[in-house]
Amino acid sequence: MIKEIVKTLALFIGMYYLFIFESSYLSFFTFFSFLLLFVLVVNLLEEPQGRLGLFSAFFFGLLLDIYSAHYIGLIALSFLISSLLLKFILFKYVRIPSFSWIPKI
Amino acid sequence: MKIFTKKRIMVLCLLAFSFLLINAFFKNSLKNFVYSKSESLMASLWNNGANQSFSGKNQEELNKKLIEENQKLLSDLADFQKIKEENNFLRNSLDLGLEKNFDLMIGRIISKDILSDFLLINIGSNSGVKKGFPVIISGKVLLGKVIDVYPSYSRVMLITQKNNLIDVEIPDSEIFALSKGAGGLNLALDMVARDKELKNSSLIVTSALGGNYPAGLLMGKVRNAKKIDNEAYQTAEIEKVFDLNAINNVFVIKIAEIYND
Repeated sequence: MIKEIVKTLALFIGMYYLFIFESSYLSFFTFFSFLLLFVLVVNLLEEPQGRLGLFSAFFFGLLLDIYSAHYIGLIALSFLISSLLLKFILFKYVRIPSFSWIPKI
Repeated sequence: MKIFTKKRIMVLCLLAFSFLLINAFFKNSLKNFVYSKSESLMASLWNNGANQSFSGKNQEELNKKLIEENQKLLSDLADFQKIKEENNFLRNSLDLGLEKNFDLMIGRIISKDILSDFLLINIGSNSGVKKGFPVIISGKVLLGKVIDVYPSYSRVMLITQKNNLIDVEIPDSEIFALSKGAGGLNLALDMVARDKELKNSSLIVTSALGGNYPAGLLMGKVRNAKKIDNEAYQTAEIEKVFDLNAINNVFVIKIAEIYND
């Protein structure tokens, strides 16, 4: 349990600093969001029972909410539900290989 | 294996409920708190990014462009001197006061939204900023307007934000039109009457018609004017006159009334 909490915290802190780096420094060089790509890739390639995709989607949405004009939680919940739906569709109807080496939470 | 388990649905409902409470009572104070904790890091990263992106540009090309612009400005200056003398003479004859200057507040840019054209600046309601105040940079160049105010910070919607409409005019040909944000720091000129002649490189300034911005703030220059046969209006692109890479500080204009918010 403690291990899970530490991993989740580490994920949030890592994403927080990456987000700050993207929205201040990287905004001069690119419009592309590496965090969004990370969230998409993890959600697509992770094993269906993994939770890293869910947590990363939620945290990325939460950071977008806080650092934008939206209501807090609007994008966070949308991303979380999208991530759940994606997992459901991938598990039920699509057969693509998942990578077991992606760290689990 | 089930994806939508009872536990997960319960967690989603709890999250939704707690977000509702946060938005109802602590939205602005929470955002202000998070911004204050990350301000110094973000501001220093913004400065570093601005310096590096500026020095990375082709210096020779930049110099050439600046010399050309300088020559053009010098010739304009000579014309303006004459106009200024005439203007002063007329003002004195008609007993008119000088044009009222703007009441400005200076702010520093902290960050830009990742997915859209919004900026965060470091002055807020404690400094007297209100929703709807226009934001400019030196040279009366319009940058956008304040759309969200927190105690020590404000969020600025850039003129380039998608579907941001602003009434503009082209003074040298007396054309009134709309500037339309296209997203990704791009701007378009729309609703230009077909019978008017749209010249490339004409200056575009804000018009007082919309009521959102003071008249005469510089928006950009006309580029790629298009008159398509089966379209009711002419369109063009707007070449921005500001370079976000070179901006650190902005000015917020205190205006007495905001007509359309």
